[in-house]
Amino acid sequence: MTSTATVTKTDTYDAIVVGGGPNGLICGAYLAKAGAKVLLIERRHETGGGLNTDEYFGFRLNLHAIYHLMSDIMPAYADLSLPDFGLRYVKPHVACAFPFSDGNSLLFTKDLDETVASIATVSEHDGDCFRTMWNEFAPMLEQYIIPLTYKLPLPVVDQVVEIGETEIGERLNEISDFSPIEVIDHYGFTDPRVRMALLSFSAMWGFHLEDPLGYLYPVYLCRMINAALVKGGSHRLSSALYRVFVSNGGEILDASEVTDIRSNGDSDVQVEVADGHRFGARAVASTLNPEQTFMGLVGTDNLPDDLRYAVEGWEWEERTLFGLHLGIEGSFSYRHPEPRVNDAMIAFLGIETEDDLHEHLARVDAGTAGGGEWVHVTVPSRHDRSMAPEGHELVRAEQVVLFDDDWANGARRFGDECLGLLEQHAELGRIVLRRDYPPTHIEGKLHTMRRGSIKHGSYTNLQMGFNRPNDMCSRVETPIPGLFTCGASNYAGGMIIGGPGYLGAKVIGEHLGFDAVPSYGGDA
Amino acid sequence: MKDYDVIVIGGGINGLTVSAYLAKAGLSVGVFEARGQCGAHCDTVELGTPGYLHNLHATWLATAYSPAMEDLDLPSLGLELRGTDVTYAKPFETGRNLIHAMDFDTTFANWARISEKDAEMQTKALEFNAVNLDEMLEVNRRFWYGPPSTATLDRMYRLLDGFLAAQGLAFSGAELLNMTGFEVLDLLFDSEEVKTTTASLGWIGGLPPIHRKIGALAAVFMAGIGGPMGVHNARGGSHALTHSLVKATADAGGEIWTTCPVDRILVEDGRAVGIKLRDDALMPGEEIRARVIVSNVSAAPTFLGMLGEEIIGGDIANRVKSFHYDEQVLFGVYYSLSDDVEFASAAWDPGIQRCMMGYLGGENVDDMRRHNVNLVSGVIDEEVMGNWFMPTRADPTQAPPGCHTAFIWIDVPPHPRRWRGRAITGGIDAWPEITEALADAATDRIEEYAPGFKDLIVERFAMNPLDQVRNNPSSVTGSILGGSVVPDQFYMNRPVPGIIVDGASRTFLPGLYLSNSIHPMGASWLATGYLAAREVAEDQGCLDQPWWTHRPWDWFMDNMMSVPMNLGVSEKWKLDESEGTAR
Repeated sequence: MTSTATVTKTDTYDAIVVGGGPNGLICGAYLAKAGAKVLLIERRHETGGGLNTDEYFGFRLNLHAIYHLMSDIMPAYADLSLPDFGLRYVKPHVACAFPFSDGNSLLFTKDLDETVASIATVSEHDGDCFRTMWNEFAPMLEQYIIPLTYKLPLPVVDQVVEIGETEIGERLNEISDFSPIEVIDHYGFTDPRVRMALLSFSAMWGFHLEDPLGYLYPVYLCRMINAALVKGGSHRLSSALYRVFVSNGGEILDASEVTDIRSNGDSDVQVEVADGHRFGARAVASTLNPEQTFMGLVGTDNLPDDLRYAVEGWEWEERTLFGLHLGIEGSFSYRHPEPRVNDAMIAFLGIETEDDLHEHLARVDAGTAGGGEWVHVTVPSRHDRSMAPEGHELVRAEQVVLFDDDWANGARRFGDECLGLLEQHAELGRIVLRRDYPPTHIEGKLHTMRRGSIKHGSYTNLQMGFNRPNDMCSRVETPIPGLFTCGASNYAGGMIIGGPGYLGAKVIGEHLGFDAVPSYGGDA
Repeated sequence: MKDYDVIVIGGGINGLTVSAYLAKAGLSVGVFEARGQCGAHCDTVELGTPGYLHNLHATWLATAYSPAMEDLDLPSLGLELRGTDVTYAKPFETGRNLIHAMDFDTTFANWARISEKDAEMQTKALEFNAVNLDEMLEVNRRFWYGPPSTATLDRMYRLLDGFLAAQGLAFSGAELLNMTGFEVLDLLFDSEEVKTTTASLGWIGGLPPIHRKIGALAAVFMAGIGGPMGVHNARGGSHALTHSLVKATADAGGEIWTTCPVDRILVEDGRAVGIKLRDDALMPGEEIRARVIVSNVSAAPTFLGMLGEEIIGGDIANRVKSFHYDEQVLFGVYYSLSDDVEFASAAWDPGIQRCMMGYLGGENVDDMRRHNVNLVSGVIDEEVMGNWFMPTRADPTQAPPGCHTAFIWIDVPPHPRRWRGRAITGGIDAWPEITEALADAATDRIEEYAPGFKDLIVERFAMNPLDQVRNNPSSVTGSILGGSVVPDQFYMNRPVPGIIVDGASRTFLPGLYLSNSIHPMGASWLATGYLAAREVAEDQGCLDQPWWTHRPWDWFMDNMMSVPMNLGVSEKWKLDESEGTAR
């Protein structure tokens, strides 16, 4: 047998990026554009990671990322001229709808007055609270949360001091230690339906509503209401990054798993892939999770003790998502009397009050929740005709669930229950394509997203900010000379915000001796 | 939006071949693809459980013969071909199987046990090919990668004359080509095994044996060089070919716009000057101009959809309306498997276990003929017969360790009228009703040749012609070759008389070229794209490039022995290296 006789790759690079997800592609694209010789190695046959759109039979299934909270405002969008490579966003005016069984509904739209008016139909008092809250959140996001996503993290105390210099920053510090429940208590919401809706913006991502992640609350509320879908499917974002990378001379080795990373010093790191081929580089950027990068590829024996302890303490999320994807011949429409429910990017079905939500999540955590309890549903083809063939619709319904190794066996039944709930609320034509996507498939497709992780590692204060993935690696450099980390398990996290890859390019560029990224917000 | 020198409509592998060549030759090129991904007929997807990759369309990659391998340096852009040393195998109910192998001794040993006479014939073919190798290569280069010409046909006839004489047959090449494939098989071979296997090879090559001329051509072609031609897929699946062409295009500055379906080809003063995108495109309704438009969309949607009768005239329009797509329409059943499939006939000749593709069903020529006749009459045959594939035997990265994927392709009429004695109404729209039952029948049929197969099934997926049309509306009725390859739509006549005016791709409408529905046909030869690129470059004065070799088949001749083989063949069946036939 001959091994890769037909491959004529040169063997040394300025930088090697391990993992071709959004952050790996962003990091690689910046470095290649700045003139570095870069190799990106991807285990799957397709790059993109969570930017996955499986397209077949004319339907474009976003099996992972779908709602883009920040990728339309991340620095890479303009710096890399992504629209020139085919990236467009669709921004549905009605972001989220909560249709209720008594004919009422809550609509969260891109127009604040409209949203307040919708809330007021349920509770005038809560409508006023929402306006107050929004007016505080907007500048918090503009001035702090968004810019900080693209700056290297500071130790917690320093960060608090820096933010606390303005009044609005002080307000942000104040809510930062609150849980989502405490945030909405703080702003005075009282109506059980409004409170359910406001908590859903966090709960839909698997967050525990009692966890103190208050600084994320404005992101998940305001950016969700401003969220975008990628025209043609989320994978178009990774395709655009791929083309920037390739057009600038970047090389991609796909269907190749990295098996070993060995540092011989600050500017000599060796990477080996499964067929035994070795590549060398002055810098290696891993976008994989800390367990894979350090325990797996570098090797437990080669780690300093403090790094090993930190990596051993890495925590995965408890809650994840189940997805049901349907290709429908004919139409899909909700039976609700409020017609704009059909315009919504997401409709939440099955739960109507805060108590119901808490009880449901308790059952999720106990592993007893059924598939017909609570779904959030998107019909991508309604906002973007290219997502399904003419005369067809594409439907995606998701539920928060617990990870379990045995998911494959229960997926069909769970999907049936999920479909049952959908059919209670909507008229749908003939199903011509169905895909049940349990959390075991998330891990199966993207090995780095262990235990069906959707955020690439739990969002707890112990592994956020300066601590993500730990206090030794959060600023991209690691204790291993020449090895850098810049995946979603790094600061500032997952959700296709493009922060880690951007910061990775910045720091690796400095290591290689050039500016890989333009300055951002004054002091990138 | 900016203008281009060249606009390519459709980013399938032939469209991308055009864009990569022309961008590399210095022209500004924009590719406009309706789907999200390029490569509609060269895709690889996880249909169910992640880790199992399914190649829904092209799987037997004929790319190794293309000059694009060298000219575009596809291997350095990630296209790593992988094959099996046994290239084709057909099991029989008798427990025997017929195989083609890269190594002639392996083929001969197998054939000799079935029919001394046919093995003898194979030997004579090999000897003839060896003596006439240069001329054979040249005829193949001209036939597949050159514009249709009577001079090439003459050379082919002369070669056939020599071949027939060497076999001791008193027929001329021209006479032979007036027969059907089945008649030629009777003439050349003795055993039902060899005849049916050769018929099936011609069929999958896009040349159904029932037809005169093309069926006959296939019979000779496949009998002579079917084995040593090599059968390949790629590391990571067929889509790796699409990726390498995307990279070649982007590397050379070509721009690829996906989610950009084209509504109209713009025509001014009798010349194609640009395109207008559809309203659901990335840039809704936008008009983009270019000196050259290459349509990689098949003939009917190009001429009737994007141009229309008022531009092409009633005469051409009527001819295009009768251009038909109804042959070589496939029904696919895809399996994710927990282990390798073991054919019963492996006990007789284990070669079938080292093979990534073949045919099953169709025990004798009567079966094959009946199936072919039924097909053209809109009847789904009672007996399931079709091509089987196991790409994971060549490339184990397409399934989890130790696991495999497999699929079977059945030729079906796109508008079925009858199956199992019952009338079917609704034409193509009837497919959802019969899909699962036909997939069950296909599964049962595989089980007969490979007992225990059903126990290996982790998941099963069916793809009917409607699914194919949804996937790619250019594949009208689900045709995989850009329109049926039948005598009146073949060679000089393709797609229909009056469209191609000079060469292979230049149409009667100045500025408009085709890289689909022209000779030779679709599949993964990258031949139609190569021909269009060549003619555009000639007309734009940029054909003279140091890297442009114009040498089809050379990469294959130089590299066929170093393509990795049998990487996913199960340990139990791996060749002992000392036997010397593993590569």
